Amino acid sequence: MPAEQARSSLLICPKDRHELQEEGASLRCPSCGQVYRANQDDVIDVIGPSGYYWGEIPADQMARVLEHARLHGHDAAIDDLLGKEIDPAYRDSLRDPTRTDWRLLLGFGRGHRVLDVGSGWGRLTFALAPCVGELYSLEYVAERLEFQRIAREQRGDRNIHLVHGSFTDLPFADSALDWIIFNGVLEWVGLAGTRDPHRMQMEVLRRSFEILKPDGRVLIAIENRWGGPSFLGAKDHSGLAFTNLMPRWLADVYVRFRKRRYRNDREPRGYRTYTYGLRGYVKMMRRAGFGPVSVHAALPSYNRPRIILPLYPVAAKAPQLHVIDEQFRRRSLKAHVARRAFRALIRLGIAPLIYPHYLVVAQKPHE
Amino acid sequence: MNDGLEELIRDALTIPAGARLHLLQVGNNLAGGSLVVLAFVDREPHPRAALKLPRTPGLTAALDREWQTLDTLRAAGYDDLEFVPEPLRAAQLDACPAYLYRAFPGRTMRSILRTAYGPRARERTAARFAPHAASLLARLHAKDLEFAPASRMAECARRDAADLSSLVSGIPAHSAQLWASVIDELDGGGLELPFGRVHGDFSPANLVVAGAGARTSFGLLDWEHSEPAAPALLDAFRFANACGLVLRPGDPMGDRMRRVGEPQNLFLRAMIVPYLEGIGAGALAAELVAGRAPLTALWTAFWLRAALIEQHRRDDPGTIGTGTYLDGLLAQGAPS
Repeated sequence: MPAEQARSSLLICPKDRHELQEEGASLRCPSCGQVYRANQDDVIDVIGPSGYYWGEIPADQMARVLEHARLHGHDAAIDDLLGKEIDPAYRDSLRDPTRTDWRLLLGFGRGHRVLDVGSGWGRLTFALAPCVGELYSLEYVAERLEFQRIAREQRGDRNIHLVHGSFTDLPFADSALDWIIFNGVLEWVGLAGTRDPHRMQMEVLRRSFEILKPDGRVLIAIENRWGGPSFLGAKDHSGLAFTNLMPRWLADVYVRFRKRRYRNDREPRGYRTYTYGLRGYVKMMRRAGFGPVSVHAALPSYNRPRIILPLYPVAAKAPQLHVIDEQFRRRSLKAHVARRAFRALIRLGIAPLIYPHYLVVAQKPHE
Repeated sequence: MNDGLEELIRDALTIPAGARLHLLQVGNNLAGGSLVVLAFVDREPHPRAALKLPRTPGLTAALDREWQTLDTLRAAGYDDLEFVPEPLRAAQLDACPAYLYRAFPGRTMRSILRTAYGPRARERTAARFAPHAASLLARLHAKDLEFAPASRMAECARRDAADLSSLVSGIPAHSAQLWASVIDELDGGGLELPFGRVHGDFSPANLVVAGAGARTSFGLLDWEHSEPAAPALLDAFRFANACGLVLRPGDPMGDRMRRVGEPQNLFLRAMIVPYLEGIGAGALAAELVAGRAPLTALWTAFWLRAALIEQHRRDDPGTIGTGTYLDGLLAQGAPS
């Protein structure tokens, strides 16, 4: 399907939710008359210049990365510039094809229309594009979207549509998509405003429900609030240990007390990156209107899903024991203790509650 | 959950509708880059089937080749070898090929070696498995075996050296010289060597072991490098070398090669000799033990092949980079 045709039937005006109509190179809302730029680079901009920048590297370095990518290629930009600034593991994960390994198990199909929300550098977008029908990559930070545009042009992917927009107001028509992916995004939703983070997350999920086709599914890759490493002092999204384990009000007080600031914030504004436990995610999905929900553990993390283990609705013990025996196979005392402890937790049915990363899949039922 | 995936497995394994099926995906970016989905049936401790899927379209060829090989082996009467995987079903899942095999219970030998406490325990474990590996190989090779002069081996080495030279930019002069002398040595030798169906990637990582003692059972995975009429010693040498990589990962490859040639060496005594005796090549075994066979030449020839296999030459048309086998091979005979 040509990109223009798909755009006009899928995208809506974020202000009044009317379907956008094409007008030359632009898109126009027939109701409020607002014109949205579809610039010469074929990036659909539904929010206009936001002036907001966030990234692993400062804005001036990002400008250099973009320039380098234009001149020498996006891969060279990652190797030559980005690689020196960020964590090497993160850099490698930008091109790691294994990060979308869940697509076959979860049932992503070649005819599917997929939305990748908060696509960042396009890590998932580019890995997934050859395996699905159409892929919409939604990103709020214009510089990151520009990197994706350069990569798309150089790679020649024809089924990727880049959308400059916000996850708080997904600019898609109702019943338009087969899949929506939130890969490490839902926990950050609270930073997009000042209201109750949980309420903001629920609004995003409800809106996702609306724009999915019947039988369409949402995939949320996210940390477990009660993940085992958190009890051992692993840092939460706040940058502090144990805040996810605290009651929300206490985490809020603690984050303010420690004067932690998120991303570009000038002032600390409390604890806003909410994560949940297995049952918490299932409950949220049900409240958002979704039907069947399944939860998988992604090991070692959702960014490197080497192992995908079904946990909900049924957490079978045999696959879990198989995984634990392989993971803690070294015959050291530490591995032995960990293996025995995990085996006991699996037998008691507790292990599914403490895997650190989850893949939550929820399906929109028929009307 | 991918409904097509579940349906395919249920149908192939004839799992009744009431029984639950649990799919566990395991995958890494090593060897072939395939995704493996293990199918567990409710209340059974081991996976009953393994579904192999290509991670990227480029890897389809390797998985397809493996399927064809195992299908051919079944038809050729290899089905009495319990360690050869049973192909159950090949299907297309949303235009993506999927290959379903009956799964083997247990863990890989590499995993077992790695869990052993310290180098001595690892060597003991390797020594325990080496005769089993020799027996498996002998049974596999005995199905379709012929003896031919070593010049045929030289021909294989010549082809592999040419392949490697075209894939690796800048082969050092000393390596090219060494390979030429190895080929000459094999060409001129009067040895009779075994040729037949080889696994091609016979290593502890592909050998699944379950149970203990008399009840030990084995499974042999990853047949994509299998060839019908290749030098049969390839498998034994590859196994010895791959074990060496696990037992002494820091050792230079050349040292490992020399060590296998020593009469007291574990793999020569516990594996290569019993294997050769098992296929009726006792004379060659005696030559090897006595140090009269051109072991260095043989080893180098197998090493050429191993470097190519390790780099997945057949699925990667581009030039190949550095790797454990290739680096060691190119360092061999380098001027100090």
